[in-house]
Amino acid sequence: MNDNSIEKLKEIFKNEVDELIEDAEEVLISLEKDVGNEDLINEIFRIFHSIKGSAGVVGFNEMAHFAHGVENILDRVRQGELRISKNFVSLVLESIDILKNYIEFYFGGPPVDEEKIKKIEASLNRFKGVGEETEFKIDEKVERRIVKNAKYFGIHVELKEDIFYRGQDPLLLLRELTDLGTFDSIRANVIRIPELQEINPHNNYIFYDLVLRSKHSYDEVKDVFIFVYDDNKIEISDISGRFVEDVDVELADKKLGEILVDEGIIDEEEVERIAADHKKIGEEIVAKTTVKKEEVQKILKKKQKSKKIQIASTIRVKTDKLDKLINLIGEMVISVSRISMIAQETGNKDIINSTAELNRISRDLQEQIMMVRMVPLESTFKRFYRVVRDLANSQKKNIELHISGEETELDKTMIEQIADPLKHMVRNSVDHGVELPEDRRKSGKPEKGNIWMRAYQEEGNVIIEIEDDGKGIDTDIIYHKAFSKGMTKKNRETITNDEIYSFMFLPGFSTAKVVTEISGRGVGMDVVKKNIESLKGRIEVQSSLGKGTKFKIKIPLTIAIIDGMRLRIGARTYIVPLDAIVESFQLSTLDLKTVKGAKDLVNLRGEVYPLVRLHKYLGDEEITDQNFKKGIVVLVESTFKKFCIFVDEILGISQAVIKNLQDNYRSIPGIIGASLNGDGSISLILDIPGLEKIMEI
Amino acid sequence: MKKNILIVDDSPTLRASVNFVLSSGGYNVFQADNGETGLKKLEEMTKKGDRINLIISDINMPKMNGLEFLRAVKDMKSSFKFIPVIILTTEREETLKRQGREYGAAGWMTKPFKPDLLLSVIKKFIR
Amino acid sequence: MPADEKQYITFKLEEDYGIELTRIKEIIRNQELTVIPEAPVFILGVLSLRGIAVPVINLRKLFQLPERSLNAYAVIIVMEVLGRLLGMLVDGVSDMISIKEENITPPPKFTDRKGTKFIKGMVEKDKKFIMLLDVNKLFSPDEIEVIDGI
Repeated sequence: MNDNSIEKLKEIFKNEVDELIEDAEEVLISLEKDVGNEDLINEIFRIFHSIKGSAGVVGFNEMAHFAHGVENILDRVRQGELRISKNFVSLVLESIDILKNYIEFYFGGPPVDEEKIKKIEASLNRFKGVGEETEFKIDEKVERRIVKNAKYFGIHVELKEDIFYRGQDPLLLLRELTDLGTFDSIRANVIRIPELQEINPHNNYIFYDLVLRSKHSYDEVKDVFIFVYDDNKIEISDISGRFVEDVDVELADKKLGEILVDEGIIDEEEVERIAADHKKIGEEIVAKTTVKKEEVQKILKKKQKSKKIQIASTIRVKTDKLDKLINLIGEMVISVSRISMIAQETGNKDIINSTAELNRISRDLQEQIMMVRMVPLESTFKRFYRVVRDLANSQKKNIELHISGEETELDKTMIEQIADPLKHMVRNSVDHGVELPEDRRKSGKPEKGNIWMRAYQEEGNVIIEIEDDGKGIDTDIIYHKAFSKGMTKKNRETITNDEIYSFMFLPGFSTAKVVTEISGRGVGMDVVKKNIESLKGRIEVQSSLGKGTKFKIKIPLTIAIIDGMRLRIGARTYIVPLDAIVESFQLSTLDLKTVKGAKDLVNLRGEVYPLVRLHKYLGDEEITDQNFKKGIVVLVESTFKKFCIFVDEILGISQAVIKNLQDNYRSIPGIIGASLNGDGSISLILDIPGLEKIMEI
Repeated sequence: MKKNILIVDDSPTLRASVNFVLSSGGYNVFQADNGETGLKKLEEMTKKGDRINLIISDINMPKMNGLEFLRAVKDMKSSFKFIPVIILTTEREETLKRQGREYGAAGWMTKPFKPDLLLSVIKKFIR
Repeated sequence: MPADEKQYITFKLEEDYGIELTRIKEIIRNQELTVIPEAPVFILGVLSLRGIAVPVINLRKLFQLPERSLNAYAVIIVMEVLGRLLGMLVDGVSDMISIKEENITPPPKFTDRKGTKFIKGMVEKDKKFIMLLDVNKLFSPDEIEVIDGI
């Protein structure tokens, strides 16, 4: 074949395919309106078949290959294996576009977009179905679980006090369970053991919670308890779902203290006590109790593994998508509120109820979305180790940075906005706060200076503190500077420290020159203040000349997440922020003094604390006389004082999302907000400082 | 004398391609785009006194497909029943091949075709 | 395996369900999906599986079950539904079992989650009731329309 013939051939090919493509588009547009039409389906199949063939003839193999792919899928449609939709037809039309691109390319046009082809092929490939594969694939790790059939059972064994009289022994039951598998964890609950003088050695007081790893069936596990099942409280559930690679995925979320409690290594009360100190639980537990370091390490490792597995399941979403979502949802919430109001006016019960539900759902949605953006301050804080180190080195100062509360969470955008102000303030602490080593020595301070960065939640705010033990702010100098600049007319005696500090935040207050003269903060504080105020926050200053300075940033959150302990008082559950809890104990071990006309008092190891019976205050009239022996007392700590709350039961530690009550009800003193539990019920979150005030403790 | 070959296929590209190959092989090539027009062409040429020495036919064609065309050509009453028919198709299905043989196809080739292979196959049927 | 016995993969989603093995292409761990912003709630995103864009369905949402946070032990069952490949996110795969046709009982009428039209029968195994899904009935034509557009 000579060149001329080849050209002619290509010409003929182009004409044929152009016509086929035109026909195809016509057929597809009709097919879009009538997806079941067999004739159209046959027709489009034939067209792709022809295009494939002809492209092959002239050696345009890529195009032939692509057309062949589509042809195969259309064949499936033809054979009835695939029921199509309008969107499918659109996809085929997109394929036609690709064919057009091929033609253009073969006739001197630009090369075909590989990405585009990949994308369309990826979408088309799902319509190929399972195909001819006779063997299906299963992910190795998933297979291990199925094939090995190892299951995890959560078992609660609570036997009556008198079981020994019936010849039963919980230990034997546990031993029998070990025949079926191994204990992933086991905890003995000793809360029912009475005081030494009251113990009846023939009674059973201990109950157990354990996780059994076994290849046996549920029935076989249940059979172990065959003789005790009916009269006692035995609960067995298949919790295999929680375990991946033999690691409990829920460990990632649990706090270390919780895990130690679950595994029976330490008492819940001890954990609470330690948690109240804000310190790293692992260290404290090892320091304050008999728990071995190795045990803590083991659990930390498990937690890490669990976290790694958990992280694998996260989805990355671009923040601008989230922002759009948040805006839309914000608008929706407003709209829905408006509808709710209008609905109220109709007086129609159905409409009112439905819109109330809608209202609740849209607010829920908003909160859920907001929570997606909550990010721990950890990475922001940790950056500062380097910052402080480098700055301190460059100024020949010896400074150590201490970080705490980095697990406190903040909305992602807020974190981004806070990063700079924090940096400014830390810089200032290094530059102007902490003195040079020899100066510190002269003042009788240790040569090493300290800067603390702390974060915590308080009443619906996130508090970030930056504190140093440097030279403090010299209010005299600031006052005189401000006075000379005409910023104030007050004289030195009447002006307060707070007013003096506020000058630091005024724009133009400090210049580079002034910074060296004023032993305090300088560049950028006005910007810092502006940034924080844009987050609707506030900044407070506390300082003591020669001793140090503390900046306290308060940022309000529409939602806040706290760690709390769930308690049952009467029929309701409440949550007490973990920070506020000192310890908990059973009342029977204590002295309870009821003083007529005054409060009940509790004597604990020589200290006397007021006892608060919340149910009376919160209006749970149904609880009148309680059997104190069965209840528990929680010792809480507020800003100034400690007091005891009487509760019926401690339910456990969990994270609670605080929903502001103010939005829905007038505020109730003593309550911070409410939290929605997993089962849909609501727990009220106690405001301990608030309660202190109300109870006039 | 030059031999005449009829190519029956609905793709102009395919026909053109076969045309080029066979022309350069020294054959006269005639074209039809489906079984119906194929039969018409055969009649036309016979009227003129020209003989078709070989037919190459596709299977998937509109109006009358290759197998139907084959049957018509090989029919007892047909005046063309002695002309060898080679099926040139994308189809690889065994059942179709068997059917083609049953209906009297002389040979079976798959697309895309190699020009020299086509020429050597044709030589088997045209002396 | 005798002719009247078929293999099923069982998984948990509050209750126990089973899907015929022949419909399943692959079972993989829950992994990163491309999120589609305009997609309906029951679509989690798109999984890229060796050159195939597979839409992944949140079966919990579809069955209108209470949400659980995404967890690493969930798996995606890639299967053929009405001719196209879809991924279903489930809490976890329990087992691979063989079921005799004769042991399948007709579905109960108690649940009201989208009706029971996609349950083709029930079978009892290990004191559990496993509901066998007719996957082709899981989605309405409108839903398929939307899924195809992902």
